[in-house]
Amino acid sequence: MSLNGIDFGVIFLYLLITVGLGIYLGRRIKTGRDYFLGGRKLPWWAIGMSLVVSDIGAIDIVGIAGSAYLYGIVMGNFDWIGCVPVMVIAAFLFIPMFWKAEVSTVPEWLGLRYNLSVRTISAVIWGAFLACNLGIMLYATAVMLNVLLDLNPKVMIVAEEPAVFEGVQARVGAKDFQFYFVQPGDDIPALVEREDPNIVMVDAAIAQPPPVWAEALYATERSPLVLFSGVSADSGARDWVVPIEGGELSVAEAVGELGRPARWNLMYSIILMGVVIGLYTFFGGLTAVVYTDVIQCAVMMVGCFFTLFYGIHRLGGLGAFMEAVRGLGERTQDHFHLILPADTVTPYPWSGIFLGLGMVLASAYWIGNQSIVQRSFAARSEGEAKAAYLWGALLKVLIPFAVVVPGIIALAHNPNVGDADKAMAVLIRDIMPPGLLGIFFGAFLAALMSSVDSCLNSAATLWTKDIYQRFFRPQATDHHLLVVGRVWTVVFIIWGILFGRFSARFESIYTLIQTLLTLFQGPSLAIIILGVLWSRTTGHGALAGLLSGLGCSGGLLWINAHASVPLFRIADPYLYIAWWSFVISLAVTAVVSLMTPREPEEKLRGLVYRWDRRNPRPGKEAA
Amino acid sequence: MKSMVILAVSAQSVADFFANILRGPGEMMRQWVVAVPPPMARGIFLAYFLLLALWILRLPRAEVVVAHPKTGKLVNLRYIALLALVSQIVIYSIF
Repeated sequence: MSLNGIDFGVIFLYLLITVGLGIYLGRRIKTGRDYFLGGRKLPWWAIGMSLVVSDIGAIDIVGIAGSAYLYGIVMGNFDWIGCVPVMVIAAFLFIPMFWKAEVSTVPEWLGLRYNLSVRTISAVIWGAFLACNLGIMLYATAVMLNVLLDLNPKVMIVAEEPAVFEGVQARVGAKDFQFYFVQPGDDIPALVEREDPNIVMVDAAIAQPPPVWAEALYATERSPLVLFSGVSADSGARDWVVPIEGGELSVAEAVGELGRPARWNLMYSIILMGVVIGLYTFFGGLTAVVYTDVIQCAVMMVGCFFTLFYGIHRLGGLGAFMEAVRGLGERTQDHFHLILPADTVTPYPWSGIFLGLGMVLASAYWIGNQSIVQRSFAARSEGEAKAAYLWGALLKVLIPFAVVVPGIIALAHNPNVGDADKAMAVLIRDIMPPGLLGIFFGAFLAALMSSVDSCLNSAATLWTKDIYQRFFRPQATDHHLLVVGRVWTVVFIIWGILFGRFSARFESIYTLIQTLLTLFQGPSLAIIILGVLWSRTTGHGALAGLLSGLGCSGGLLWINAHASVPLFRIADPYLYIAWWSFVISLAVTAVVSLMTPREPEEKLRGLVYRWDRRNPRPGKEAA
Repeated sequence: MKSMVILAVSAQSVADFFANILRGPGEMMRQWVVAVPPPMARGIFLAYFLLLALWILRLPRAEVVVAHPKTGKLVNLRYIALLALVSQIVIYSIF
């Protein structure tokens, strides 16, 4: 995707407005309450839009569209059954309880309802998750930025056989490079002229005697040109090396040492994004996050819906689009089905979607995820907190049309994209009129920034309120907390940038942290649900339920990984593990609660659904 | 090295022990779920949305009516919630 001057102008203007608005709003921030909760003056419509756009990261725009390319509209479940019903439930049951308690964080509410142990465990897990997730989000979005803007180093591989190309590509590492497969019959000098690769690697088997084009390339000294040869690896598989004077390099080493350095380093993207987002979050706190999210939501919707309508128009209308997808045969037979059989080969059987996603993960996300729920605490009234969630639910109904369907359009447009995650980029590149790429890229940036700023602000809030204030300065003034909150914001931006660099080296960290969150969500949700809906739930019960749920999910994961035959039949059984840890946590919390003394009535006031109505204060009753 | 191999083997046997206990009931439940035909699964999804809609309809007025922040006019949030749920019923009926 190559942007022209107008595109860059649009993006620059968008970034300028976002940062300017954040700094402007920061002038009104005087206390910690202003910084963490927007002074509890935020309107429902802004919170609702912020909820929706924070849920959609840049990874989602690219990744969900990529999955829709492979599996179809089943991906819409993540926004429909995975959001809409639970947002409606949360609006009337849970959000009012949090809002009335005047808390800043979910662990703070757990501390009020149960005890310090439950609050601390929850705060430590969420605090660690948010801090690490910040770095991972910065890294992952920087990777996407580089992919979309063609900023990754380019490796051109000249070989006769596709298998050789794929083998070399795998050895170099497909993620951080762009690869071009070129065959000896292609116009290689013209391709090198057009793509300007950082290195050209030629299979030695086709370079004897050296072809004419190779001589020409050597003469221009435009792109370094190296020869690679196939050798037998220790495992017996075929490997590829680049012979050099006095030895040989692996193909991965050769790209690093002999290739021309990339003009744009991935780290520049991480730092750029970190600084831009950090600036407006530092000055404006949650207010800036929510109002910039409003702009971001509008930009994202415009960009994605433009892609939707223009993409369908280019395919000849809705009927032609559906026909084109259905015409692809067996691979697309389920592309317009939301509900897939329990034994489907895709990772999205209806049972996992309904129980794991719809019942547990979605509920845990919309009811218990600090970086989401925090903005509803900032509503001007209880009614507006409810309205914000319902407005968000209505917007969520539209999201799959904006994000999932374009992935299917990309399939109809080009069914032969090798890497599904690049399907959206290919579609945009091919169909967008010149000058309008900026619209889509703005949508991408909007999605990126809205998720990272929420994570940053929530991490600062949680570490200030639940860790710093609770354990070090319980008597801190509101102004002191504002200063500490801003210090944490700076700390987390620096940490995020450094951790982003770290994530680049250890990709499995991303999977590990997502897994840990999945394991924690079920038990966390169980104690929130019981805490709000059942007055008999006790602190001891919640602690036992939380720990047993964590043990259950960890145990299931361990058994699944170590048993000679895996316990679950699907490759990523997190939806099922989340479900069972939720059920166990629910059961243990209930049983232990019944075995321990009731909580005092005064402690439950304002924290349990309809408790105040059923148990009015004696004075009020008389009145 | 030898002790690591023993540890690995014992980890696997412990995991197998628990997996064998859990696999029976797990497999039984899996069979139940697999036996559910897609139309019935769709019915489960739709029933979920319908039950929620019913619950929304039964919520007391005090919990669903809020005053507009600027005009003070009363707004009934029940209709917005129902609109969201009805859209889901339509979508899950079609796809």
